[in-house]
Amino acid sequence: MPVVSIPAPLLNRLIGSQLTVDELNQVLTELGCDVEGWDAQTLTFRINLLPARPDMFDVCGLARCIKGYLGIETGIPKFNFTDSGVRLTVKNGLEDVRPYICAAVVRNLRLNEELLKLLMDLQENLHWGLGRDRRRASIGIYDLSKVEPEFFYQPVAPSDIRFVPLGGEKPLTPKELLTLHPKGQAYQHLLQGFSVYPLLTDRAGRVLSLPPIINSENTKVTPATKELFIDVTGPEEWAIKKTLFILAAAFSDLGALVQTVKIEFPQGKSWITPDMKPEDFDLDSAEATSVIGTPITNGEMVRLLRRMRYDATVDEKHAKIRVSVPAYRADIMHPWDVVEDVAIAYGLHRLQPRLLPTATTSQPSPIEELAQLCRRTMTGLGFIEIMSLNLSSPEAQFDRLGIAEDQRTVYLKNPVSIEQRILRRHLLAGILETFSLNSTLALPQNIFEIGDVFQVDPGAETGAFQERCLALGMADAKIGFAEIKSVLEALAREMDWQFTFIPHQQMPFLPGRCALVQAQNKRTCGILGEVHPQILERYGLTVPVALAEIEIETLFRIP
Amino acid sequence: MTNDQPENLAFGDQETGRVVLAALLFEPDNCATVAELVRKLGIDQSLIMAAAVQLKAAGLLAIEEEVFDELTRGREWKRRLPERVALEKIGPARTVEIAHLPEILQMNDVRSIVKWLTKKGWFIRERDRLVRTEKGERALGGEMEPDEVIVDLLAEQESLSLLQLSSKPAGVDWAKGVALLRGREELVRIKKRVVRKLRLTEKGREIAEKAGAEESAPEVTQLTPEMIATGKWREVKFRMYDVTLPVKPRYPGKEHPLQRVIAEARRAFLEMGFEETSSPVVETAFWDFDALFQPQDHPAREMQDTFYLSVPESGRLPDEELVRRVALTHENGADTGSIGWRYRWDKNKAVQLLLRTHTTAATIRALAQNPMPPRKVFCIGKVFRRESMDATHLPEFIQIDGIIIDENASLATLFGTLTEFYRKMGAREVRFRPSYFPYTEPSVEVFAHLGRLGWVEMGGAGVFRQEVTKPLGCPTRVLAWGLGLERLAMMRFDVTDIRNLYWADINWLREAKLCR
Repeated sequence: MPVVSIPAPLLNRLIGSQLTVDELNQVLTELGCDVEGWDAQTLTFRINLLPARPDMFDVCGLARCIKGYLGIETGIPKFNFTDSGVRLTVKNGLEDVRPYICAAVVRNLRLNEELLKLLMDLQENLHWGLGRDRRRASIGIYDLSKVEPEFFYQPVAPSDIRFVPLGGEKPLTPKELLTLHPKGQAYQHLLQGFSVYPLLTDRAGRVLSLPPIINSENTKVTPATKELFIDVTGPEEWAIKKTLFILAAAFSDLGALVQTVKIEFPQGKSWITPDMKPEDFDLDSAEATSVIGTPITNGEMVRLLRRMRYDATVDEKHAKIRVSVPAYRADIMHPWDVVEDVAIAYGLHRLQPRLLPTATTSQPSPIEELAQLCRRTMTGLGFIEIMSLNLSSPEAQFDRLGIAEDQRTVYLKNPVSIEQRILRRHLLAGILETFSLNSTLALPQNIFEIGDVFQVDPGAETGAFQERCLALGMADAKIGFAEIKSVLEALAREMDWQFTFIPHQQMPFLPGRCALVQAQNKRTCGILGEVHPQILERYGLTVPVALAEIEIETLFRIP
Repeated sequence: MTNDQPENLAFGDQETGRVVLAALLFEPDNCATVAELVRKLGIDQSLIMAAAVQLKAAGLLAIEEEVFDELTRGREWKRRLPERVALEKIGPARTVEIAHLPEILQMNDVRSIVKWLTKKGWFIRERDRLVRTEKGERALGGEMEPDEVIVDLLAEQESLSLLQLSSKPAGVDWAKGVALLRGREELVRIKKRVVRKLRLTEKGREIAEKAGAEESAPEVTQLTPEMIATGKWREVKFRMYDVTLPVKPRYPGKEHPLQRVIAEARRAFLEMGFEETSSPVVETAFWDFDALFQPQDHPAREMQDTFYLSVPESGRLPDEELVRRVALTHENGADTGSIGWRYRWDKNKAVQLLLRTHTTAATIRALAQNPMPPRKVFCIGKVFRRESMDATHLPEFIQIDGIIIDENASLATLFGTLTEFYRKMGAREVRFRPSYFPYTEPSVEVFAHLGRLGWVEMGGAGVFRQEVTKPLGCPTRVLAWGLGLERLAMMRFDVTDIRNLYWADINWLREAKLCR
């Protein structure tokens, strides 16, 4: 998750309070923020972003929530947006590429370096959270004084125009941008396969941006900028509007004047943005209290809702609460999203934990019970249990043991390290590695592991077969085939398995000292043997080692 | 040092001295070899010798040394001597040309054989021929020379001494046999050995008898089965041990510490009436994400957080109707009361195979299989996140997931259940903080107070969204949680680096305490 820095002095100023660091930390935590740390040097909190709450990505949004939670200012914040008189016309031809756009004008802006940085952070975080890395929404912010309204959102052929991209020096065509510019390379996949690209220009034909890739250099915002033009583009209207609302609310909270822009689409459709009209719906208060699990009166619930910045009125006749959701909330998809806010305002610590009265009977998993029985027998035989990782490598699973790899290994597409790029096929490597790690310690060493092994199975729902296995290893000066066989037979006796031992020859075992284990139904279900000294050398082992591995799940399923 | 051989005895203590004196008193001639004493008293040879040296200095006993020959098999020892083999190969012919011998005996150099055949008196050499003697005739008939008898006896015993030979079949000139073998190192090795005998002096006898009168029984260290069977234990005195001395450490076979915590967690949920479920580690994105209402462009689904598979790459979806309901809920909320995520749901993303990122994949499968209340289900299993390893992170770890399908399910009962669980696991107190997860609403983070570690974040919990439960046909509320297990184990077993749980130091496993 991205981390955002929130300056405490600005937060306090926006709340209109003088809360201490601890008090702020406390209230942020109670609101569900994941506070990662406090930097006393810069007086900032480091907060992990909550993907569900883009309206809490910035200091303005957080201040809005805290004011409500503390009762300083409750209900939906008032936004008075006037008409800017600016028009934006959408031309034919972008229907399949990136059809939707909304925009706003911001005036009376008093920017400084700190605020500019906060705005840039918010823009980036919205691109991540709501925009899904610019796919669903992409923001452009421009110095309004450097362009001439009105604006045009139109298709452009890849090589039809040249402009200097933000931070660049040379004018480039859109096509060149996508291949040469770092931002173009990073986001070119969003325009891949289209014969035209979206372009935003002003009345004089100046390029504002090539959404969703990059702005032009000559519309760049600086700390001296007093007026902004903002646009958000995307493949559908919900995400771009929410993005614009959050930006508009932030500018408004900072004391700037936000103005609306009229957007006209080709087929006569038009809209005026940002439109901060709340969305209304009915909350079933009985359901809400039963989800939370504590009685809350309707009057109390209205107060709680207002503290979470909703407007709410009681509809006594229908035993419902009419709730208005502020336009900048992007996470309210279902009434229970509001119930959660009620619970937070109520205070989770005030809820009395209690157990459910419903009686149910327990039912352990047969495989886990089987594993427990095997575990008990193995520890009774004096073996110590180890646990190794499921992730492994072909080198560890095959090469080091001298086993040929077949085509049935499960491979990761995006491993983090070469040591961990497959799912293990057997447990023997883990046993040998453990002996290797402990080669200087006192003998005898008797260890075992119970774990899952995996292989490709085209017939399975998930394409893979998973099996619970038991592996054991013995290391001592006088260990050999007879010793490991006698342990395996002891286990079989306890578990009532009938084993037949079939002579076999396979690495990592010494020829003539290896056998396959056959179950009563003639199925091969394991292997055991004395490890070849050639393999022992590879693991840096200087004492004989005997190993065995059996498929306990297979044995368990024999009728 | 073990209790049988206390260190302070290494220099010959009075105790051992007394035992040796008493033992010699009962031996014929008041004399015994050190080896006999070791066997009879069960005391280490070095201790007996140390005591003997002191007793000798006190004039109580004499140490006599007797030298004898010990015979053992040489490198090329065979049950029959080479000249005997040659004798038999030459067979009944009275004379044989020496020039023919290499062929008869299958060897190039026959000089040594010729030498031994004549030395034994079996043949006489006449120019280029060997002529068998009468003795040779008898030898062919089975008469054996003493050296042959010795070589034959070595087949049964690893070593022989003249002392032992005297008790073997009479009429054999053993000394001659040994003399014949001397110099044939490769067949029989002859080594000088010294046997030490301890014999009481007159003075020693007096003192031993006096001590015996005071303390009639000899003292022993080890109670033997023989003593019990013969009742001899009644006549002996058992040596007093220093019970404070350290002994050799022993370790039981045991479960892995993490496994013990897993077993406790299982027991806790089973005690609360939960059924246990499981699901495959290799999972489709459908069950890991889609069924849990995680939008297909959710950051958690991205390649940097989730391990996807290249072999095999895709799996199968469950029945079409279920998939359709899930897809519709993503797109527009369907009949769940939600507006949905408002995008086009893609089947191709749902069939992608991955390593399950949470065991909620198991509980959601259990819910889909039977969504009717009341049910309580849990799963403990391995989950995978695409993270690099460090002291607190591993790409795979263990999660405890659970769901409760119940008409009375609420946040308060969720808190009650989890509080009860962590109390059973040894936490003093449990707290909940608001949080956000895509598939629960409300969502909380669970914190448990773990002794000196203080408050530790254990995982997430909440009420499944109706966008999750309704497409699966579940008519009631469902509580759900996903909790970490390693932290509990790290706390319990004082582990500061999570990697140490999986790269096991056997000493640590041996020492890890069973009790908290």
